[in-house]
Amino acid sequence: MESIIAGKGIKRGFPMAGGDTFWALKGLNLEIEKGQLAILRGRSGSGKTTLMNILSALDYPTEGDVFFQGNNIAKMNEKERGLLRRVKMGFVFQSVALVPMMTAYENVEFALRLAKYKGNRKGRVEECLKMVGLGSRLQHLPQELSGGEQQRVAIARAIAHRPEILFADEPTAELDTNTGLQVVKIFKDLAASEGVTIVMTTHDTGLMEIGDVVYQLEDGEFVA
Amino acid sequence: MLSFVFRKIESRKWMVISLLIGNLLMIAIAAASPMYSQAVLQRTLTRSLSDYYVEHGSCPGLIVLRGGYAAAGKKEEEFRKTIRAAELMEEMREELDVPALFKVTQYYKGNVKAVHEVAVEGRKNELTIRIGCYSDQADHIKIVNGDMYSGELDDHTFDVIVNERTFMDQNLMLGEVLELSEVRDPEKVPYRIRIAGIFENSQEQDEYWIGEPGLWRDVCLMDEGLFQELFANAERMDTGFNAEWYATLDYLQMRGDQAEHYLSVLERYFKIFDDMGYKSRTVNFKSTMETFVANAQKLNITILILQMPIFVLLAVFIFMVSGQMLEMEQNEIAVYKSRGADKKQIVLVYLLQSVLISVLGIVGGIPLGLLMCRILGASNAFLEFVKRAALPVEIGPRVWIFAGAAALFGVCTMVLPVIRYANVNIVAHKRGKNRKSKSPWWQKLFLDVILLGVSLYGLYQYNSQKEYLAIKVMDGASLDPLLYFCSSLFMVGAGLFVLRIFPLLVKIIFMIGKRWWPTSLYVSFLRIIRTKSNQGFLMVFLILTLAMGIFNAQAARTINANAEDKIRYSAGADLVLQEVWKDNSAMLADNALGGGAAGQSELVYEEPDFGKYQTLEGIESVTKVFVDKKVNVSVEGGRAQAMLMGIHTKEFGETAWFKDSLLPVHWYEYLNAISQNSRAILVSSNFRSYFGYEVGDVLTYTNANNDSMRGIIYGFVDYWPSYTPITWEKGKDGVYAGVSNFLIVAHLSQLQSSWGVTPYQVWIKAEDSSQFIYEYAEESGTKYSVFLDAASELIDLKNNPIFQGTNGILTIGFICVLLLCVTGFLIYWILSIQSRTLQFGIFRAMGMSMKEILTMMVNEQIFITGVSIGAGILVGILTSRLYIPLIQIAYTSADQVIPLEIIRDRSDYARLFGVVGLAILICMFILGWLISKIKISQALKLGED
Repeated sequence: MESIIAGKGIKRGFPMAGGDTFWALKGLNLEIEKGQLAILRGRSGSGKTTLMNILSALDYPTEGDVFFQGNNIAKMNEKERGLLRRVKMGFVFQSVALVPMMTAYENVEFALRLAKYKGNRKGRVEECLKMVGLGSRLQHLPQELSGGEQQRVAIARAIAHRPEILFADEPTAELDTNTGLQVVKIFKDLAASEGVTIVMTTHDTGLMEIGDVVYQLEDGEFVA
Repeated sequence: MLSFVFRKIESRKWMVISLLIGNLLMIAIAAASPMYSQAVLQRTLTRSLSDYYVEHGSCPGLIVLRGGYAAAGKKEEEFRKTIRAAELMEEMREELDVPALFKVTQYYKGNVKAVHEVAVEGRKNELTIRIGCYSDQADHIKIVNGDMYSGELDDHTFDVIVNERTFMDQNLMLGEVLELSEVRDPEKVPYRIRIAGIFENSQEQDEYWIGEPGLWRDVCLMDEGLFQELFANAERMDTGFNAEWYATLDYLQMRGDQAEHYLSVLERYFKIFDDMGYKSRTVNFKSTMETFVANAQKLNITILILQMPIFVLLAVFIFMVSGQMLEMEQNEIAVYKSRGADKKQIVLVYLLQSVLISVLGIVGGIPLGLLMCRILGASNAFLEFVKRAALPVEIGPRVWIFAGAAALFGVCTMVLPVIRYANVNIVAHKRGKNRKSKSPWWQKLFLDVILLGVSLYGLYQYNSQKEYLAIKVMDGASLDPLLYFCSSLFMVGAGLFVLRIFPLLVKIIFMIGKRWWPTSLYVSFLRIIRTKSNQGFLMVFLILTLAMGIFNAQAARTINANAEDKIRYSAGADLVLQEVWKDNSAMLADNALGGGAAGQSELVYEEPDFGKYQTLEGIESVTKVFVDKKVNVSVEGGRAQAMLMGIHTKEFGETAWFKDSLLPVHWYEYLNAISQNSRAILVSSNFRSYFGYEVGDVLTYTNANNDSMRGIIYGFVDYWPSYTPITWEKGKDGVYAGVSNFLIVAHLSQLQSSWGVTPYQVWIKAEDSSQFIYEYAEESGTKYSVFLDAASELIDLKNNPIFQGTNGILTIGFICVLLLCVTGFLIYWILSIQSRTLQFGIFRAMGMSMKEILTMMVNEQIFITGVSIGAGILVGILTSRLYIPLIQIAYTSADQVIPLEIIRDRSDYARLFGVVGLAILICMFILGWLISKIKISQALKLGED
């Protein structure tokens, strides 16, 4: 299988009071293959979100390289990274992070607008929402939906523009176990049906079996 | 608790600072108003008292009580009155609480017959003199000849001194003795006086004296003690005497805020004096004080009314900021509430915070108010300042009351909204958060429509009673508070109305291009449409701010320009003079007495040299204008009286002041028209409307000597320099009625060739100041029977406290508006950005570029700010159009002679736009900085709670 994203010696340090540097990531190497559901697991503070932010071009590594489809995104400028995020990547955040004044439909359509999606937008939006099991409540504002429903809209939004890779940071953190499982199942289905690679962080051990590959993080290092 | 409040303040320091600014301004303005009115009134009072001095040559602080003792009736009681009067005078002065420069008692016996002991040929042997004494007179006179009087009675003879004039006029000699045949001692032996010396007042200017002692012609001064012993003796009470008690108060120490007190003290004591039978009194400052009290009331009301909208705006501002702050703290409040804090505790926290802000507001607001007063005192016109003597500003009890009230008001504005929030616990809060944003309450109540309706109804009502309004002003009423209030209501109503239709407008634009809008515009449109209440407040605030700024500016400019125009128009030219002409009327009168002897029987004038004006330095142009206010015109069905004006067309056009907009074509056209024909005349339009005259008709008019003239009507004019179409006169029933005035403008040369040269006016257009004419008049000793100086009237106008106050308040209001505009704008946007950090993070994460986010913000600015500014300007202009014509009635005193023109000054707009533009620029800069500072990953973290 070809690798879609690979990290080489990723280090990320944060300056601390007193001039020291706190190393959140201490030189990580990883390689995720296309169509995989990869899980980054660890306790809070283990560095999983930091790693995810670097992989998803939201943050720069202090040292090391990140190759996305063979291009080193650690060396790209903001504009190129923005374009990348807009077109090739999808995001699901821990907090639902829908645009509050847009309806479910508009939230999904918004991603299409951003990615300058050329096809039938309306069809695609409806398709995506159906895929996450929200065929009916299209015209509702986020605050009128339940937490699980909101997260599904977020997923629909993240995949609408057919990204190559989907990043999900603790997508189940604010959901109960049952709903969480449903969400993860949606991810799994998506990986199968849309062929999208998914990188997801979680601290929930129960979800680990679902992943094709699991990276366990502790203090900025992978542990077996 | 307190440390909790402090921590809370620290975490929201910018909000608190904004609140502080709002409170500071409010308290400062509230404090400035009594400070200013007190100070400017003080200045006015001192000035008008000084004017009194100049005009009357008598100290304005003078109080005189005249009385006396007639040595008749109940003698003891009557005599005691004279002593009591002196005491009462002193008590009165103490109650007035103004230091006296002098307190004087004058005793005298008037109409005293004095007979020379030695008869001299060629002089009257018997004189009528007045013998008296002033307390402490010796300190104010000096002997220039002879000796001072002695205080001894020697063989029924006592010494007196006289002034030079009495000495000369009465043909007295030093050392001679006169017998007072009717003034006798108890044994009926007449007293005698000896002319001991000649005195004059020791200082040229001495307020001790009422009038000038040098002018006396019959007064003999004697020793005070001796006068009392001989004529005002409580033991004997056998002779009568007159008395005059007077006090010269130091008028420079009279206080404007005590004016009413002065008047009430005077009234009370006058009653006592009345009861004593002492009815002759003079109080020089009484009428000045009375006018002053009326003006002071008018000024206070005017200032208060003018300030009202500023207060409202400030209250809205404070409300807006504290509302924003509460919105941000809503979560915390809800959490406290859920953790068991009761409503009282929560309100207490906010109360403490508000009180702290208010106390700081007072501490800073009063000095700021003081500063504002300085600015007000130097205001000459709208946003125009001159160097004037600093206002005597004081921080009196009224200042504290006003500042305190403003602070209290601020606390209420800040705390009241908390009560609503304090009821909400976390569950209800979250639930409320999930509720769809509904129309604000005022939209449901149609408050905007109601406000507009009420204000327009008020406008309609006032418009239909315009004349009544003008009459009320003539009777001394001040600006009608309700009317001014209507204009404010209109602004608020219109602002809210714009807010109501704004989303519709945006929706339409949004729908039109929904498919094509770039993402950034799409997002910002959606945001504008979907989040109403948030930006609503800012929009109303901006609309109100701009509308009020424009309204203030236009009102001030219009009031000023209009009053100035009226002065210029009514005068006709910069200077309108008429010299006193010499004539042969005295000779004619003699002739008439002499039985109409041969000689001149016609009144002939001696024309003063006119050429001198043409050479006088400082004159731009000068012309002769003949004015006869009463010529008779035979019209259909009777006679009408008209004002006749004889002019030289060319010179008149160059000299007279006239506003081009008053006549349908330039007024030179009219002058050119009549210049073609020596018999051509212009007449006022009412000749046409009343009597049906047409152009080309011949009009015959007759002067007082029954000499008649004919003129051909070449044109009709509604206005003409110095011509008042309608004057309002108060009838016997106290009702004002409009009287139409008629005007005929003819050629001066034509009039003079038929009627002879009779006194005419000299109209002058000055190059610069009118000072030269005063210098000329003084140097040459020229006397004028008519002397109108428009420039000096304009200066009077600018010194009028009501005008000054109005300009000052409107200026301060305008500056406040600018300040609030910037602060409110910045606060709103910075908060809006801060609260949307998460959203921006999401947008950025999803690949939106900085540029797109900025475009989004700019679009929001264009729609929210731009529309508000546009609407604000529109509302401002509309309000000015509708309400200024009514409001300015309060300032043109009586008859609005010339039609009103709303003055718009571009520089005001430039200032307003400059400041708003600067605010937007600063704001965009800060926004850009804030947005660029947002780290996507951190922004997303922020969203986690």
